[in-house]
Amino acid sequence: MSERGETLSGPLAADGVLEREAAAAPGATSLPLVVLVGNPNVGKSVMFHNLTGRYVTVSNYPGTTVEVTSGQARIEGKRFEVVDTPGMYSLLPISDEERVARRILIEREPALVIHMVDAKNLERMLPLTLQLAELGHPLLVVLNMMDEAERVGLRIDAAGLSEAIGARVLEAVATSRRGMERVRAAILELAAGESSPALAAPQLATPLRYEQGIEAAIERVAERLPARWSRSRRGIALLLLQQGEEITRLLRETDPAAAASVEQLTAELERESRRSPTYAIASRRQDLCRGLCARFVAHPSAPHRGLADRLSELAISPWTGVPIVLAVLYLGLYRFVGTFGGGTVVGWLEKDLFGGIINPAFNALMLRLLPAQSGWQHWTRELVAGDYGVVTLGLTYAFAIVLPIVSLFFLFFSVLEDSGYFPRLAMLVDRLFKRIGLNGRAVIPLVLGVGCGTMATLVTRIQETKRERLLTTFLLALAVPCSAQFGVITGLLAKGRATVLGVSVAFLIWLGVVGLVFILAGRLASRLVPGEPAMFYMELPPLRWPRLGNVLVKTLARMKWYFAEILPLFVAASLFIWVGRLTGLFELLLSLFRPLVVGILGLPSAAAESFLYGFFRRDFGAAGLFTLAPQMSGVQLLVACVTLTLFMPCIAQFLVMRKERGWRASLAIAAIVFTVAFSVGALLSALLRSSGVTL
Amino acid sequence: MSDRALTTCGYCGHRFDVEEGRRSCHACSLVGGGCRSLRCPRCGYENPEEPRALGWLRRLFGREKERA
Repeated sequence: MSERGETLSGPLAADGVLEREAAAAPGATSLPLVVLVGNPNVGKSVMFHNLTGRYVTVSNYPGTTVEVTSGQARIEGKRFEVVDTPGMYSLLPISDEERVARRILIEREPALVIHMVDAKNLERMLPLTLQLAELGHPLLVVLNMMDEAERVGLRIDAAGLSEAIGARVLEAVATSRRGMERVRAAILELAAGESSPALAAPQLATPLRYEQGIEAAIERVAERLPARWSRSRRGIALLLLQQGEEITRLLRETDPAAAASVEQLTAELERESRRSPTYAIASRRQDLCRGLCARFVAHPSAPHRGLADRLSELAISPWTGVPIVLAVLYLGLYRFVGTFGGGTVVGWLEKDLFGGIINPAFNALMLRLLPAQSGWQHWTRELVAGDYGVVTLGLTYAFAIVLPIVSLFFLFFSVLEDSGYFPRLAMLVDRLFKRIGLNGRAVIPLVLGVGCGTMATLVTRIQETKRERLLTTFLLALAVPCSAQFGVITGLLAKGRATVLGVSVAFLIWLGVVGLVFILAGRLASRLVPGEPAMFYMELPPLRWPRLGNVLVKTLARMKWYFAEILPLFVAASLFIWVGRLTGLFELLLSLFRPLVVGILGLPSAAAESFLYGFFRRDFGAAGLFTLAPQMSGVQLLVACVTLTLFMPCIAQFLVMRKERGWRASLAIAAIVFTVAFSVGALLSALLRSSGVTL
Repeated sequence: MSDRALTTCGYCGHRFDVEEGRRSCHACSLVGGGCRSLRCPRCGYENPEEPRALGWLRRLFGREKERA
């Protein structure tokens, strides 16, 4: 979806002269240049989208792998080139993205710089505003996300702030296009050269003065800068005094004599100063920002709290949050996905439709077409029909068992997702997760893991440390059932005779055992894997009513992906079983499982097939258990469900584990999971049998 | 040229460019040609991408509305 335009070809060496680089920078045109800058995630891309429309150019910045997006804005017939820069926190770059953003500001001569600011966090954002003002380019500050700032009761005197920093300040909500007309008018006025000189070049009402020694050094450095940097003289001098590596290198290449002189001045300043000039400059700017916020930002004495805020607090507080989680699990997973999906709907589809009508008819048809009881006719018939046929096993499992459960699970999941509940769940469990070496951030992969462990294992990449990623991968493989598995297990166990408050005792035991294994294994693993837990912080989005359209689109998208992934595997599993039976390999593998399944767990020998299927795909194994359920007692069913939940990750998850964590870690996890699953299953079986419980 | 659209992260509520989400999430499928998720640049959450057919229908009806 991206391409290089003609002007973007021929990447230049990073050390090229300024004019040459500027001419070849992304999207370089003769149009007035408007550059969008700001911290990551403050709405730059949305503003860019609002200004430029749908068609844009995405290209690597010359000499780098950092992507820069550019497009054109047309305002009252005048055209502007708009560049969306990568997120930056400061003009003293640390990352490649920040380096590129600064190069665009310094090497190209923007007609206007738009600083996008998160209005809720003004004090954190203003230091960059001051640095941009010091660079001397015409500046427009957009206080974005004003709706969120207003929601928490913040009031910002934009006019006062504008006067103090000498740059236009506008309020906006880029996502809803609020304030866009004023932004466009300001671009037209400032970038098209129709503004007053006072507004075009930012001038602080009270000029930002640094310590005497620094001010003297700024003056001396500024005198030595090449003429083409005249507009940004003070800002560039400040960057040089803070020993910005790249800017020093650029000066060295442009004017070696000036560079040598500046380096000498910088070294002198460093020697003579009581504290680091970088620290002194940053500290002075911070003081000014604090002062500006004190003058122009009014915080509410008693913030307005609506119903959504109150519900949000209840969801986060442990006393009310835990009952809310339990209620959500009970109604959403147990009742809706498990009892209704795994019980009622699957019962109808699997027993009545497929078991009673489709499969018998298909078997009869195949018998008529291929009647021989041996030879190729027999084996061909067995491939598609019979107990293990692609249609009668693979497609039945996929459409009669997994489809209804997974669809209902994804529907429930999308409702929760669209309501904004998940971040609150993350905050709630953060303290608990810290005890197992994780933090609230692990909620994302773990929640997704209830959808599919394979995808969730990949999502562990968002965790900050290697240790966290390893611990989460382990827990996903061990104690997080996938949606279909969960639905089938809930549907099976919900039928138990013994109940407490309407919930099957067998299901409660299953939940308790799996939960206990999750906590104990996590606690133990966090002690064995070295390293410190990372901090967790997140801004909570507002709670909202789920929108039906969003929920349905997300559910359909997930189902589409899921079935594209599982159908070939289910068919492949049937083929594998067919080949296995033809060659005797299937029996050989089953004979390895049977002693464990029958001897240790006390299950019927046919249950060994479910474990073998389970390694192919977790949901396939669970579906196999569904068809076996009538042959098992309540205790056997519970033991089988617990062991199958804790049992090995499926092949797909194992391959992703290997890709993400390497062979050693994946094999170790698989070995631990296998041992824990059978140990817990055996222990539970022995306990239940010795106590004489019937479920 | 790229066709830009915006989406909202189902986890953290961040609005981001669909293309940006696509670029950061493309490697997780074993079969099926990709999970077609959009990874949020702020929190890393994988959001499902609207199926093409639905997007097409939505755009069709959106255009119809605009014409009306």
